[in-house]
Amino acid sequence: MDLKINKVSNYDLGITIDNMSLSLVNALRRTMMGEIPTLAIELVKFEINTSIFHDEFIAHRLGLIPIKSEKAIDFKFTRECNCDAHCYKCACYFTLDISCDDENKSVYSTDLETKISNKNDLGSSVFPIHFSGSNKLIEKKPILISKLKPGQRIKLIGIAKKGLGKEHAKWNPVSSVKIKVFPLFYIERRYMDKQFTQKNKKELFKIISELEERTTMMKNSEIEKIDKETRNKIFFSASNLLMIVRFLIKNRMDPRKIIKKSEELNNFTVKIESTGVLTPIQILKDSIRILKQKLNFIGIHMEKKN
Amino acid sequence: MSNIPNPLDSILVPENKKKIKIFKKNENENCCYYKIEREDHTLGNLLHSQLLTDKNVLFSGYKKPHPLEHFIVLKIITDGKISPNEALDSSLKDIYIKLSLVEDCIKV
Repeated sequence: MDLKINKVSNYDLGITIDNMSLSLVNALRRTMMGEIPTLAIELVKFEINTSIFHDEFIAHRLGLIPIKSEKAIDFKFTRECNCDAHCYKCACYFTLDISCDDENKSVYSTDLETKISNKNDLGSSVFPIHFSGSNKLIEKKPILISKLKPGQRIKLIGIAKKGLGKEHAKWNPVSSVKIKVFPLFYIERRYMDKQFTQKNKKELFKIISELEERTTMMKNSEIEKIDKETRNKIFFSASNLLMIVRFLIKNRMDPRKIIKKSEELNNFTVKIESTGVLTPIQILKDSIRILKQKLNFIGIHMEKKN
Repeated sequence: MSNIPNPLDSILVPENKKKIKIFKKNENENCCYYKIEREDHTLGNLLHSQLLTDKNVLFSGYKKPHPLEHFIVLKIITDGKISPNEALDSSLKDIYIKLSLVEDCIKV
């Protein structure tokens, strides 16, 4: 099992994972999309709204604005907090007070102001993400909330709370996770030790020096302790397949009997695109941590039963 | 008033239900059904495919009977050398080890 990071930036992450089962990669993808806690505006209290859009319309747009959530771990869920409705420990407050005097005006996300009671609040370092995108294509304008004509006014308080992507898509920290699956082939080690001569082995390892590295790596790796099957197999990817087939044919061995396709394990390339709410590496680390928590929870309940 | 179900229904386990409920329909001791509340395909597929790699497990399958009722049913049949509970425990540990390996690779 091998993991390499190909490309890192503030919003993108590309990694290749070798020798992994599809169900584990899919479980990580599903936790990244639905189980990582982030912040988003949940309640909106309107005082004045004389704009052309109705209250729910503007509230819906405010909810979808991404909010920087690195402090989301320190916040509590409102259902677990001791307060009545919401307080400074479980929520973070934004105010918006815009009126239009002379010309048509656009209301942007930069007009949202954080409201804090004192400097030690958790909410003091939380702000909406105005400009996002990869380094080359950063948008020049912040997020548009609404437009006003002369004489119209909007005044509201937005209350941001912690939530999961499972509850509503606004809490999803990721805009997309792409997984590409590549097949994995293997030769059984027993076969190689018996049928291949010493000279053949050396020649094969010369052609594909990678193969030698992998055979020694798999022997010593920790996965050996779990998965006895992988100990007896020498894996290689599809890019080396052609050279190995040629080598086998040259030495008068039938590749169809020797080379087999792995059923459970594959190679993957995973691309994570974040909305900017958390860095992509943080999203990956959080998803692994949360999956482990779930497994522990079930393990504890199993022990209680026994 | 509205038809929308509570969005927290899919996350929080209600007080009158347990997280895991084991029930055995047959008299065979090696066959076991587990009903796990408030979990979906994320864990179901992961556990089921890890159990299949165990040599002592003859059958493993999971299903989510209805998309609006948030629980999964996991069925395990072993060949007698280990009990289904032990098979589930060992597969949980194996997945935990694999995840720790991934974490170590990221740190480096």
